[in-house]
Amino acid sequence: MSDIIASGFLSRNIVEYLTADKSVRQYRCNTLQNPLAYYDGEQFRPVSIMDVADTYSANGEGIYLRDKSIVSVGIKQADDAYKFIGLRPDEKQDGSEQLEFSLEAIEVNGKSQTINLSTKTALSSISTNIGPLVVQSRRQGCRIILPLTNADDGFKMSLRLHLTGMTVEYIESLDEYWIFNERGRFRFRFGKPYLVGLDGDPIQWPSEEFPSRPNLVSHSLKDNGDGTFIYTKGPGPDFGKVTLPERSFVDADIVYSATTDGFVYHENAVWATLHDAATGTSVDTTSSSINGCPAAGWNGSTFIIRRCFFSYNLSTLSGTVTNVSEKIYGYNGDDSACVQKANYGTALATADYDAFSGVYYAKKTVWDGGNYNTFSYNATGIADVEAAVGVGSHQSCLREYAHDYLDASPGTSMYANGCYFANNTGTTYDPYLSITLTVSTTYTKTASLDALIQKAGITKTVSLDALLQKTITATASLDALLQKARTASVGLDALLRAAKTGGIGIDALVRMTRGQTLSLDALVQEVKSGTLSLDAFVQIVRVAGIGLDALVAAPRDVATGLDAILAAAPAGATVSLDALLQAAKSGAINLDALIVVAGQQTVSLDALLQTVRTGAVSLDALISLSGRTRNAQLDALLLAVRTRMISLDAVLLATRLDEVSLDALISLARTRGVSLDAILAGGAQAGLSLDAIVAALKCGAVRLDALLAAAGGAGVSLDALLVPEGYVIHARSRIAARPRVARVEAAERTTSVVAPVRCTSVVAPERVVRGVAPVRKTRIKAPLQ
Amino acid sequence: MPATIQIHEMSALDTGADKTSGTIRFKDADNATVDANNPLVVPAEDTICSYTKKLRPYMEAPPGTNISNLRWYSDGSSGFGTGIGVTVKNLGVTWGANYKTAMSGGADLFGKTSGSPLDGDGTDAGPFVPADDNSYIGDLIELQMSVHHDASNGELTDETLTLAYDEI
Repeated sequence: MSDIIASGFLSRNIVEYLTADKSVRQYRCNTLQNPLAYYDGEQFRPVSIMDVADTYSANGEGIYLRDKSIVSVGIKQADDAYKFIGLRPDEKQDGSEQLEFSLEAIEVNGKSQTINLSTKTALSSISTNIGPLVVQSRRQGCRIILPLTNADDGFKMSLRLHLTGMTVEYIESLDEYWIFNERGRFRFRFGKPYLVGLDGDPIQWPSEEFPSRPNLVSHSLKDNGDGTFIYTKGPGPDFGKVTLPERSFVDADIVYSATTDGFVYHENAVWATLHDAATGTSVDTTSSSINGCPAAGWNGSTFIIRRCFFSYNLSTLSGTVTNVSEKIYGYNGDDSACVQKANYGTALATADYDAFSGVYYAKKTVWDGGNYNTFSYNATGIADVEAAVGVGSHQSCLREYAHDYLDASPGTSMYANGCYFANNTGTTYDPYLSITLTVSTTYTKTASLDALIQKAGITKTVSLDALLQKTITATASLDALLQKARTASVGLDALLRAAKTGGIGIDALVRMTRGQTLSLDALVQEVKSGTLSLDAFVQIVRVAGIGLDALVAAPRDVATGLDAILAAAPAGATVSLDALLQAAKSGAINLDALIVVAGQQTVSLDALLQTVRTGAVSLDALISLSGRTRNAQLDALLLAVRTRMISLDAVLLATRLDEVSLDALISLARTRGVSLDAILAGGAQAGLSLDAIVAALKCGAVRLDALLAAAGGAGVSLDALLVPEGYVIHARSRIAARPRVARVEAAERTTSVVAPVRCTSVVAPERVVRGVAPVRKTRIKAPLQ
Repeated sequence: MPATIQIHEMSALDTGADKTSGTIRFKDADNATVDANNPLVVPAEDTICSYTKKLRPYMEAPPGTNISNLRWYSDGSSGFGTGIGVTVKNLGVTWGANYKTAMSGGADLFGKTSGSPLDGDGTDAGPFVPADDNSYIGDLIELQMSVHHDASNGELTDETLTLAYDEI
């Protein structure tokens, strides 16, 4: 990768390089166990585990802080065993998740050790001596180490764990304690306990003596129920079975990754049995390097095989894989080796001894024991890596090729190579994948879509002449036309303007209307927004002072008489006034006919009468028609006469002069319930003498009997008739006698009514004085006779 | 150097005019001219349709490796307003004259989004390599605007049609 430039970290374990061709990118993918970068809250930055800051904690205590790693480690500066070390994930530097340690007890050879943490001496760039302990911070984890010297009689180290935002779980299959955050995400694990050297690697024992590494150290975790736990390391079951080196170490090994690399060891005296076994004898996920792995051979007493496993998380990558090389640094050896697909889950275990499949991705006939061994993947390997890109992890198994992979007995020879694992401090010997991807870039091109949209009415030249003509000939009402204009959102003004320019008759109407005080705009607006009927329209026009004749005539631009216009209207027709007016346009209808027809319409008779009054209409025609052929509401007519502006004298005069039969009038008055008083009163108001009325009656050959009967039936006061003439008195005698006789006869029927009270009570002297009493008195006494 | 891909408004299977970043105007006439002639007239009732438009990508300059995954889409939201619709479909590589009767089949253009685009290379499938330089690539797509009688008049606000492709 010397010809490429690192452009940044894609994740904690992947660094990206750009080539000259930006579509081709190369990545170095470490195992998750072996991070390259940490997250500083904004971006990924390279791990710098050796940086130590002399600073303060949030509560003001002095601490030594290593925070340029995926987990920050703070060591309290004071001589205080309580929470003397604290760990926080890089993405939780706010303390919402942290693991803190208090030193509870240290025993060596059965004797408690004095806990004095006042001494803090840097032993190396990553190790600090703290009293009796050594704290070592690495990329992969943190170790709290207790050095042992001649501790043949045993040891004990107890640490109190303070967990914030996390929980702990024992993984029995691994004999490890794993710590998760409250969302179940892995944070830390306490690795399987070993007796280790200062480098942290488990002390190696001759495989002939301990093919499975002796279990010299055990660990336990006690839940105190108060959110703290006591983690204790002490002698394991094999302690005492071996002679310890003069100087060794036990540690609390806090590992930051759940994923491990390492190797699985197995042995058997029968090659085939060994080779084909499903489970190994032991597993090692702690060592930073191994002498003799991968290996296959005879160790002098049995066949042994060591198979190495690596895991690379590629979930943050994307693109098309074009090249993959797996790089594994040689520790020693020069035999053959190959890599192939593996699938061992998260943490390597003995059961993963055979967790590989398929043909090899690549092989080396000669292992390089001091440099990187590059395995360039074949198409199978590339496809497998591509399957993991953007998805998850790619795992590989490194095996001895000539005997293990090919399943050829090694005889009595040992074929072994040595390699470095992710646990090795520093990055020089990291196993990793070098992946080349071609990255497709999405480009877009755009174009705009649009259109011009027009309304049909804007460009079409509609002939309003034709439209109106069609309206007329189709007997469509103008109301309907106006309504149509309104719903079609056509401005009636525009319509009328068009009519005007179109030279049709209606332009005259428009001109006339505009010449009046009536605002045509207002009228049109009303027509548009409401359901103004043409009747109302005509009314408005009339109120504005436009003569109806003129109005109707105007469309024709001729002085046609309204009579002539109305002549065309069919008598008794039930046509609408609209239609009538339309008809008027084309004919010579007389107003009589108009009135007849109007009587059946909803036209106000007031308006009609006003029209009659102002027009030159023959009233006889009106009355004649009303009485002869029409169902006109004459009572309404008379009521209007009485209460409105029509002069009764005009009516009567017209009636008399025109020799209208008054009988007919009176007869109608009776049947209509009109008060004759009203008629007579009206006559008085009009200055008509009774003579004139009587004369009229005589001239009209009216039977007085009939008149009187009518008057009585109508509740007319006879006084009005009696005052001027003896003729009237005679009439009074006749009129008065008949009801009185009737009353006498009635009294006979009341003979049985003898109550003196009635006699006593009928004594009104006032009546006697007025000369009426004798009559009444005689009549009252009659029953007593 | 990235490839140059253009959007062409087609007048024949392999003849068209570049409309990249330009305007494709639906009209009541079969031409690609963007002018005020032959506007779409709102009908008194029912719906009228514009003449169809046919578009196709054109490789003006070649990619380094190839072009693939041609797709077309809108922003998913029509700004044309009430009564205006645009239908789109993939024609493969079969040319046919434009027409103003309602398109059969097809789908609402504004239902085609970057997440659910109209496939642009189902028949003339990619990847398209440097050898395809100066030629039409991918499928023809056909579009048509419909105008319902309740549409408003005026010049419609432009809507963006996007051609997307992957290049390596």
